[in-house]
Amino acid sequence: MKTDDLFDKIEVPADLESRLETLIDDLAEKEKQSKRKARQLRLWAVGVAASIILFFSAGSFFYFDRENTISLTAQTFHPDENTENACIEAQKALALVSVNFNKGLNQWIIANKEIEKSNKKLNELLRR
Amino acid sequence: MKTKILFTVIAVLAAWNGFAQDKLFDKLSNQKNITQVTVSKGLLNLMPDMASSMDMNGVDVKDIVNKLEQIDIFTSQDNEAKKMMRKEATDHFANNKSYEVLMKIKEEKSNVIFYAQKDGNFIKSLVMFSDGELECVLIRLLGKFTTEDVKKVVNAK
Repeated sequence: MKTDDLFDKIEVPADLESRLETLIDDLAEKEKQSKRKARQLRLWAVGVAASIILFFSAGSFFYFDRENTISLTAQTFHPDENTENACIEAQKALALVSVNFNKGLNQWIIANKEIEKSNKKLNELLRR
Repeated sequence: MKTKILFTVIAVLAAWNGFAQDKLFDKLSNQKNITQVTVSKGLLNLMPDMASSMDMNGVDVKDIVNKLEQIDIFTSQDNEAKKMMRKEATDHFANNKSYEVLMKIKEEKSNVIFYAQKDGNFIKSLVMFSDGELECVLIRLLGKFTTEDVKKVVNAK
């Protein structure tokens, strides 16, 4: 049997071409989707890694800075020897803040009273 | 993805803002001729017990110390250091929108300014800058307290 005869005997479905086109399109679409998913996953992983690095950098900055503050405090006042001195300094500071704050407030109260007095006199004059 | 980027940007901005607020106090603590005293929460917690045994007429700190996290005190009598404190404090608070001026007191021999950072009805940071003839003093109180708490230290009834 010749090859040409064999080919003549094979039945080719009528819609084969359109079915093949659809299959090729589906395969291309699936490939595109999987590439997109892979890209999204890579971007997400990079974003998470960048966030972690940023948080660690910010955190380590504060950690090392806090250490310096702690050691400065320890140098300024040694807990066993100078606790009382530190308490006295803190009391003095609070007293100074409070005295000045009250000074300013008292001036404001006095000024307010003067303003009220003047308003009263003005109202009396206007009524005449 | 947009949420992640936004979150990262906010984290960086928050970190930058924190750095800016401590800049003045870091600068002052590195200066010669400026004395620094920092009293932390741990020591403040001991104060109510110690304050009763230390006689300081008319000063009652028991209420306010429970509301404080830290006290920073910077003082100097050196002219150059005083000039530097004056300049740094003025520049810092003029440019720092998170602090507002509460009060200014001008007397013959000294100028005092109060700055505050508020948290609702409370104060979270109160700074007093006193520029006198002999001495420059900058005191910062950190915590959560009110102006009444500050008044009561010397005006307790």
